[in-house]
Amino acid sequence: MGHGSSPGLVFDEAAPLIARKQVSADTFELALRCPRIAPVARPGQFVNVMLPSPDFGYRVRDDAAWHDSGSGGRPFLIRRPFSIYRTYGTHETRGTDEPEAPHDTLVVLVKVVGEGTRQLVGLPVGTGLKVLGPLGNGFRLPPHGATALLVAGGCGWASLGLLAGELRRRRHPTYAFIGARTLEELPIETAERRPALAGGLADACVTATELEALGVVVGLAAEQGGRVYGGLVTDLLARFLEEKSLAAVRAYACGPWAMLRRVAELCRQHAVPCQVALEERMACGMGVCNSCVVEVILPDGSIGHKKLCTDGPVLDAAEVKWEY
Amino acid sequence: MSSGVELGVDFVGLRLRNPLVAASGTCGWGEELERLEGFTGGLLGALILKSTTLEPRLGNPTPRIVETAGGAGLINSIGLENPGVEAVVRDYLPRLADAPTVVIGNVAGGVADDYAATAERLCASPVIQAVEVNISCPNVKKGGLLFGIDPDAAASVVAAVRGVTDKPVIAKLTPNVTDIALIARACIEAGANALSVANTFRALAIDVRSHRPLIGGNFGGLSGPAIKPLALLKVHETYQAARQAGVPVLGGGGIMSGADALEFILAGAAACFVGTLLLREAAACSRLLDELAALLAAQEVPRLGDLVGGLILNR
Repeated sequence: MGHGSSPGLVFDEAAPLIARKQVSADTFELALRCPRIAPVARPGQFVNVMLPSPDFGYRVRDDAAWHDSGSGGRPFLIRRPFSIYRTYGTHETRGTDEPEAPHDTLVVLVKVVGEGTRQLVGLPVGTGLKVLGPLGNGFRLPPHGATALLVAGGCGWASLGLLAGELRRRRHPTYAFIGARTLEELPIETAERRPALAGGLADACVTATELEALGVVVGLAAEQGGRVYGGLVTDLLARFLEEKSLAAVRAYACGPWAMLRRVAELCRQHAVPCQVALEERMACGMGVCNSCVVEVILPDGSIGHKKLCTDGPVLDAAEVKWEY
Repeated sequence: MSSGVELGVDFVGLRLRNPLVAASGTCGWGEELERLEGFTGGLLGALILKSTTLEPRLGNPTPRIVETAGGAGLINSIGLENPGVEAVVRDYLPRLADAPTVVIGNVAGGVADDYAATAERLCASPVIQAVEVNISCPNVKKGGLLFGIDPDAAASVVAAVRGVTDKPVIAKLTPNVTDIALIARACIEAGANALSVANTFRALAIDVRSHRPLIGGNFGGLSGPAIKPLALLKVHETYQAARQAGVPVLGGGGIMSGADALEFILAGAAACFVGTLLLREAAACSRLLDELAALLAAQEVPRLGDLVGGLILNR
């Protein structure tokens, strides 16, 4: 396997939506109280979220929130996978000597791409969802002292948010390159563009500014320019790899396929081990249905498949078959 | 489970602790869902392993699934991805030696001889208590559905498998036929001990922006609540054709509640399979059993088996 640790227990929690915040034109942070999943979630893992919908049989569920959800009555059959973007604790600690409150809440970053995500971001705070997780292998952390490069395209940042915090806790020098088509589509808040906070997420949100406060060096790119680098996020990575020569570097990337292919190519040229978090349409999340496969090159050179839900979503860039 | 109601059923000489059977392809190799808190194979009367072929298969291109607009349906086109029978026997079956429920194999192939050779290898394992013959996969170019829509071809495959094992043989039929009774009778004559009704309905979903199918393999098979009324009728028609021969039907299609399961029992299913439900919420199996037991208790029916084929038709 190589990544993360061996698969552990998976929980299917009834999770209330406790906060929602819009972070860009089409991207929202949703905070879900998941006291079983949040404390054991590792960077790069994900959850499979069931939208509120009626049972398909004749029986009517008792919990009113399930019905009065404003989902428009369109029943969704299959869950939608989302990276665990961040976790935090909502309970106050009693004194300054207390350790950090146990994490009971996880945040997912949701970009509206279809009917399911559109309804999901429109749910009122208090709606009960069902959340399956933690799922997937997660990222392998770098060796002691190594520098970490995080490369995200758009909402791909969702896979790297939890990793950024973990890397800084372990005092790894960390760089984050985050790109989008336009400045407005960057999936994070920047100092210049901070929408009003809502729903109690104020102390939990990671903005570019807060990333910097964590000690992460942040490079932002927008293809259409603006007050950030005008071009592709992979240009930032290319320039960094050309200019810096560091002894121990590890790269972590998530985003569109073409971007990841370029990141993989750059990392191969500079002999930087690179892990990528991939996406594919998914159903069960548990490894039973074989929906979410991607092609990999096996050690003997032949083509094989990996299931992103259980063998992934994190793969070594070197094993992925990038060309089709 | 509420007390005083017997949900256990007899099926092809096996005693199932309840009528829920995990459909092939929705419970992997029988171990994956055990990681889920609140679920165990022990919640099921039986589970049917993923379709196994003689040689490894990589299956179809992605995307392999799409939820149908309007809801309640799921189209899939996996294409029988599996590591081949040798790897299944070597890597997966030994781990099922202490499986918490009855384990049934499932075989597929391009020609009848492949089915037989695969079934022979699977059935040699003491883990496998019966074998389902997939003559109804809509997502492969050779074999699959082509066997299931022709009575002679269906019979030839069933007979080939019948010839290599004494364990119960279950023919999994396709609903994509006008007269399912015709296929059912052919399979019974060829030695089938039971009939699974049904596999998915052939289906298509189109992206109106790109004018292309939403499935990588173009066409797929529809499952989920969308097909329940269609599958119920196929189960009933099969039951009518098979009851004289005393051959039971394993029926399902879109079961999401205890009431759904009872409908299939009443239509003639001796046991019923859940599939899409397991992909959505595997832990819901315990809820289904509770609902089913409550329904029986409310109707003062002591044994679920008493209701098999209990549909009362209007005059």
